[in-house]
Amino acid sequence: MKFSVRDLVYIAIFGAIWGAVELTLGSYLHVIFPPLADTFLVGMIMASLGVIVALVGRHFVPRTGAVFMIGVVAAILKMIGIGGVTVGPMVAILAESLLMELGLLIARKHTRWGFVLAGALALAWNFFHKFIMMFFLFGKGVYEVYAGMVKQGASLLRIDLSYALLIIVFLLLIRLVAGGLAGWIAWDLGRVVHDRLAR
Amino acid sequence: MTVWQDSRAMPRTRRIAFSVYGYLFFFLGTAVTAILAREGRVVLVLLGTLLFAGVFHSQALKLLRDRKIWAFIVPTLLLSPLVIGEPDLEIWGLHLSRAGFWAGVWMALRALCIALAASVFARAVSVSQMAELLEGMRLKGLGFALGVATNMLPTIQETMQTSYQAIRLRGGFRSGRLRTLRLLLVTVIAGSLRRGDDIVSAAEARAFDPARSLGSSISVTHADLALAAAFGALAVALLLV
Amino acid sequence: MIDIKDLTVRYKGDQTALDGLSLRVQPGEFVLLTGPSGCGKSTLARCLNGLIPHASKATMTGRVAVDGMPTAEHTVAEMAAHVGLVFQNPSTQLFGSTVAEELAFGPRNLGLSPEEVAQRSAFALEATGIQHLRERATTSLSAGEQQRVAIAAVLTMRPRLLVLDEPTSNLDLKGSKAVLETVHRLCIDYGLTIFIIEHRLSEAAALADRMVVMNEGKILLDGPPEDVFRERHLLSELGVRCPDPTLHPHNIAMHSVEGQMQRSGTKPLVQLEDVEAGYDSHLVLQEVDFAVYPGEFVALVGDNGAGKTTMARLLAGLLKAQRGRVTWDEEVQRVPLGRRVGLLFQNPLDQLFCDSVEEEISFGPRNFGSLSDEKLDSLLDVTGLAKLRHRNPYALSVGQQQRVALASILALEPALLILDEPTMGQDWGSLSRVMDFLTRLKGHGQAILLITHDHELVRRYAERILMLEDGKLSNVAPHDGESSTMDIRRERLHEVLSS
Repeated sequence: MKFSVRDLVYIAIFGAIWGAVELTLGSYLHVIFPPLADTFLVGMIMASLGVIVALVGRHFVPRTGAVFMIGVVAAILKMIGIGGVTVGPMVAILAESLLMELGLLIARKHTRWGFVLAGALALAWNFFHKFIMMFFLFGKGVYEVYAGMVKQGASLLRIDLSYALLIIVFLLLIRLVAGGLAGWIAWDLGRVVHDRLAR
Repeated sequence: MTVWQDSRAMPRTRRIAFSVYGYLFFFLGTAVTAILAREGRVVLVLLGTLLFAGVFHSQALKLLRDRKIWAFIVPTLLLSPLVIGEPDLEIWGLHLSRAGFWAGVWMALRALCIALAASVFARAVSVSQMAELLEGMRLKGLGFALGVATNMLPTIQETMQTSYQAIRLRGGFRSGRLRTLRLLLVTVIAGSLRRGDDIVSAAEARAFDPARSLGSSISVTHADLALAAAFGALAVALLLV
Repeated sequence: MIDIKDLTVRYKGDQTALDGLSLRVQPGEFVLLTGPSGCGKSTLARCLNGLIPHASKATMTGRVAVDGMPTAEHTVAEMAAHVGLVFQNPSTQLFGSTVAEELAFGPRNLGLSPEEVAQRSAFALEATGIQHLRERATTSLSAGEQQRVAIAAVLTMRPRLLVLDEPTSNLDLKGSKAVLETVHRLCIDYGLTIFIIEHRLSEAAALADRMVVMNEGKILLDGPPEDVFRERHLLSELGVRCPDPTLHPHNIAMHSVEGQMQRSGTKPLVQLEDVEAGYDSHLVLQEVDFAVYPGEFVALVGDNGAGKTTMARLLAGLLKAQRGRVTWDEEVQRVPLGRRVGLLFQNPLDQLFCDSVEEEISFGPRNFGSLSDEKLDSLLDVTGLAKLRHRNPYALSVGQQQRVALASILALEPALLILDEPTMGQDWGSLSRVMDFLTRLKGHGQAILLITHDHELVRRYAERILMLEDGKLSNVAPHDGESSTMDIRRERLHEVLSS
């Protein structure tokens, strides 16, 4: 990955914007939402905003690796900002930016649909993030805990286990749609910002 | 006399025993050994992690006061006896499993080991060291980008706050909230990018050229190697015993 | 040291920034360059280190040589060892997370050995007197300290010429003084040639050996500051501010007391009683008691970090008082927030959201449902923006952008208008035009609170002055302590101007 000084400066600026959004809005949302909503809703909102910022950045640095670099900068800033303790958000930002790069690589051309794919893939991580982090931290035993929880929850609410699974699939779908929408918005926003600066 | 030999730089000397690689070995080594350690052996790994953190980076122990980590550990501890293994105990009408209880304890301790090791790494390694480490992984120019971003972050946060307050005072959120959010985002991004030209000029005026590698100033110390060897031996022992 | 012959620079669209300019500067000189916004000062600075023509879309003709090196024939990196360029905004020129890293950045780019890097860092720290900041994080420094770090960082390249492009425009009086004293010391003790661009001349002119005034890409005046300031008429036409010989901190204090006495007996627009305010557990304002009356022009002065912006946010309703009372006039209390107080922030770009001037100005009234074409037309007329109504605010000059931002706030007809540091990037000419316009507004009962550290602006326009020191209001102007070189020389300059 070879970037010019201007590319690197733009990467830094978009990384800083993503980091600033995480540190200001993220901290605020984490405080006002209860823990369950925190996991599902706040994570999705923050990931969508991150996708928008990073993909607008791609408009200004149209090179492979730019989105990942923006993600690395944002992840490190987030880590410094919250006192260098939590690895989770850092891993999430890095994985999201890597998946965006993957989406853009698959799409090949610089198109709106490439942005939509990149956004959808990035938000998909948001769904798996907690499971993967839990596996890494606690080991596979934690899945038994979760599976047991789902089973007990289903029997408590007297619903079929397959419905519980349907809910989980639905949650994944919501993320894919949100990610696609974020990519769509980023495509438009990038052009608006470009036009504004060109005048 | 050079600037680095000044007495005020001395408090760092104890930490210098390990380079950024040492702390990386520590994090990776702890994670691997915690994963490999079966059942009660994880206690030993945790004790070692606590000892290392206490001696070399006691600040990292603040993690134990973080409510977030306990928010994940406590439910695991409480739920495991209910959902893992065959129930062989009844307390207050709840059918619990001893095996599930111990499985929960070992999982919690393993999580603590890894989280603590990550905390040591994150606190011991400076931003620029981390950037240098990543530059070594072919992310050229990352150190520079990170330096720019670190110094721009307060300005961007200020811009975000000012723009939000300005649009709020002009009634932006009274109607069309999504349109207002879009306007806000465009203003923040465009305003930040406008500073880009000055940053590029300032970098070029100080002879910065991303094509030219500055070389890493970090080198592996004897302590790093000793630590890596210790973890290697421990991992082998855990695999064999 | 500097040898410029027939220098012409054109940007895209054939816009001429410099027009056949010639200039010679001797080694060790301290040269002050000034002129109205857009006259080509910054372009000239960028020509001196080769950013133009090497790293810019501008086309350059003529010859520029610095320290005997023609800039067109050497790269920016090669010129960096001869010319150091310090920019206006510290946050756009810092690259390290600590001061030590910042100082090492340039020498490392030159490929120097770690020993040489350390030696140069030590020299720069000592020369700028900031040894105590070495281990500090750059983001934890005040703006003045950051600017001194930026100067030190440039010094590590061992330049013989130091070019500073409005280095004090974001700083308060204390910060400006520290930066200028540092620069002066570099000239006297280390023999560096100084080329400084400034709008606020009072302090810099006191230190300069020579002053150059530019307009429309050409040099109009060149000579010792005392001689240049004698051309008052021409300077005033150009919008260049002459230092006011009658301006003294003690005059400001007296002014304040008189103003307050005159106001007694009138019903206040807003009154603050024993107010404490801040962010989370950090208390910024303490024991604040004061009132603003309808139709008055009040100034709030104080150093950076004294709590001026917190006060603005408190009055604008963006921040709640943690203790005490903020009481508004009953009628004003009923109107919504944005129509009660209009707040003009320092950077116009942070508060421009729309694609045309007209849209921008009607944005607020449309949201409050009070849009009328007549009002819009009249506002465009009085603010001198009628001809620009369809233009994109981003394509305007900083002065014009500031006027658009102001007009968009005035469109809501707020009872109290707060201007938070409106001097950024503005020359004295455009600044005084805005201020004159605001003074006329007072006639309609609108109160104005001007927040600034520009004492000259305050003295000229404010009826009453409040001073914030460490979050507390005081009527006594701060004492500067011992007289510095700058103070002594400024006194001398004032004597000359008075005579």
